[in-house]
Amino acid sequence: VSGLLPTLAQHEVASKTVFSASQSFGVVALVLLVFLLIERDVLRIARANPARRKALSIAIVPLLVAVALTIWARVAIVIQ
Amino acid sequence: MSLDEFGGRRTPSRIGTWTENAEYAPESGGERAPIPAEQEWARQGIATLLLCIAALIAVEALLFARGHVLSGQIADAVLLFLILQVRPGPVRRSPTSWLSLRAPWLEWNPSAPAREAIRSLALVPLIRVVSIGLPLRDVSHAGGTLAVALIVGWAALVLAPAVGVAPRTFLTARLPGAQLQAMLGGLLLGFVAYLLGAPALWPAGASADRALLGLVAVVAAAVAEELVFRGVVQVTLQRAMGRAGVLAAAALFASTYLGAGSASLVLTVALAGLVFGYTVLRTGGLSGVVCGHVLFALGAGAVWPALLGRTHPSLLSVPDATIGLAVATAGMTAIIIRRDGGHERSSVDQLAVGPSSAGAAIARATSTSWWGTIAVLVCLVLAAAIVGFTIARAGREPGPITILDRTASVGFVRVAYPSAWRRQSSDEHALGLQSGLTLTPAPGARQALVIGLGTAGEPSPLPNAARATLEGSPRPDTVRLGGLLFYRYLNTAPRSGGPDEALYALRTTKGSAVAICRGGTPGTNMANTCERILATMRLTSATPFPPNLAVGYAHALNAVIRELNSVRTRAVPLLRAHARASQIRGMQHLARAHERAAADLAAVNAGSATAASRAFVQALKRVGAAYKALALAASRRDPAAYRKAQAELASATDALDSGFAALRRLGYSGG
Repeated sequence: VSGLLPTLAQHEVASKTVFSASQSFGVVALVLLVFLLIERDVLRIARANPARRKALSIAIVPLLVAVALTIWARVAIVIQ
Repeated sequence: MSLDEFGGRRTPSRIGTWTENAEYAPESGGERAPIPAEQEWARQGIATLLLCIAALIAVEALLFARGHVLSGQIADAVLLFLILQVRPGPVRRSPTSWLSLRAPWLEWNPSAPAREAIRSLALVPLIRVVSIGLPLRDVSHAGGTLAVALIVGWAALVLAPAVGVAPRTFLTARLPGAQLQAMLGGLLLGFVAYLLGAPALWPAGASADRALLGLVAVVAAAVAEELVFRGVVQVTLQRAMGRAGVLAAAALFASTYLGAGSASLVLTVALAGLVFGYTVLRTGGLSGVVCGHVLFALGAGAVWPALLGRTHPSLLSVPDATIGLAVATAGMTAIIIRRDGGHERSSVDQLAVGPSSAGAAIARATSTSWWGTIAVLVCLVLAAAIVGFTIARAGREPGPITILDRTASVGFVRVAYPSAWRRQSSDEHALGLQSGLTLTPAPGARQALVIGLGTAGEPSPLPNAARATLEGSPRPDTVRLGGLLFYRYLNTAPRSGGPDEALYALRTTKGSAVAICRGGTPGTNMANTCERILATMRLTSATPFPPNLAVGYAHALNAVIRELNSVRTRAVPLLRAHARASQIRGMQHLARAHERAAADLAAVNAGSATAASRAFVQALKRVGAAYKALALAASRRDPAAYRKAQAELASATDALDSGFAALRRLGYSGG
């Protein structure tokens, strides 16, 4: 199944508009999550105030849960 | 997670240390004293705070309400990202740091209350990004809502101590009278929302499981919204802006409902936000407002529809209600502004350690003069009445509560539609449909509802010709509109370009009835009106197929039963014949027919009826085997084996009847 996922995702995204991709895959949430994760790593490397990194987690964790739930739901539909 | 991890709550003594880092140029004339650093920070913080609030409301108002969901989501994501860049603590610049460059944006260093208020505002775009970024509504609307509520509620509870709000204060139960007022307010406003056409929480005839999940989702959403808007956002805004913070929090809360599609419903939510905000201002606890919010949501969407019917009584004139609600909102605003902060000092006020001087100034400016307050009140009422009247007039365009007083027919389908709508020449042939009907809100409008008919015997709900006009392979969900169950394909993209469409397909004995809602982005007036029109659909000479019925399997089942009946008709005279050879031949015919029927049915995909089909096929095999054993016993003249085969035949026939009954329960009632 994991080997099929990239192809499936590519096919689904390519066959839809950005709007419907956003509706069905949460593309915006995913991109924002990636940005925030990168920022947190940059702050970690720069040894910035840990409080800033933890403040980012307040948004990162909900977005991570949302993205994980979305992927789970879509994969469940594909498997069914 | 301790307070210090996030920079902790600021106290006046700590504010004093920040002044060392601030630099301010004196006035050119030198007549006025330099602005104290603390006031300058407060001014910067309040300005940024107001900018954030305005941006959040503007994003919701200008993008979401007009259906630009993707643009709104991107704007919210950008806002969330920017808000998260606000540092938990003050900027500490050292002379050797590159941050010591003299750039205006690097001088930004707001006071602690303003900074905490700005950070708490991150919850508002987070709700929107997560709720749209968690696209589970096509799987389960209630499940998606519940997931969003749990995620956002968790975020609010984690953020609260980071912005100096103690979650234990949420459970405060001071002033029971005020808490009771919030509950009664929620109950009353829920009834008003019901009368104004608030949508029901679950469709008519929903199962108990589905209703229970919806109930849990509504309660969780109410708790999460109160945690966010009253528990965190309002309290931090109050510290930074005084009582204006209550109004700002209520405005933010109401802005998230701008997509409701009706000015009167949005005003109802705004009024509820003010009532709940006022209660928190007085009591400092959330228990009363959470109960009030639950009563509001459940009353509007479940209790009143169950008690009084899903068709909303026309007790309220929408324009009059809009004006009345606008006046009530203005009155509640005035009460909050007028409230003397010295009385009933709440725990929220007590939490506001070290309010900024700008916040205090705003608070003073709003409560010093009685005559000034009366003037503000009169101005607010007049302004609200004018705005409400204007919105109400604008709201007379086709909306979610437009009366459907005209009817139109195409083939075996009849629907009702608003008298303001127009029929246009149809382009159903381009969609591969047989005949069609096109209804538009206005002549030449891009928005339209096209209803067409497919041919009978198509294996999928959406005719292949119509499917070929779409990009990709859209997957449907099911939605009950009126008494009919439609397959709904949301956000489908036509190959010919143009805006996304929502497609609805109803399978009937005479083929599919297909409706295409153009410009009907979910949540907009157009989408609501399309579904209201489809809810009036009546089939004049066709019968709808039950949900999840596999058409290919139904055809195969029909063919098998027809063949079995034919063989049985031919075999009965043989079985009744006196010659044993004829009887044996009749039994062998029946045995072969049942075995062939079992093999034919086993090769067809029965979809959701697979289990019932397997049981039916097994029963057919048993009947075939019993007839074979009967023929064998007769040819061998073995009475014991014959009686045993007869008993097996009786048992197998009972199993076959049970199989028929199971298939009939799934909607396969033909034969």
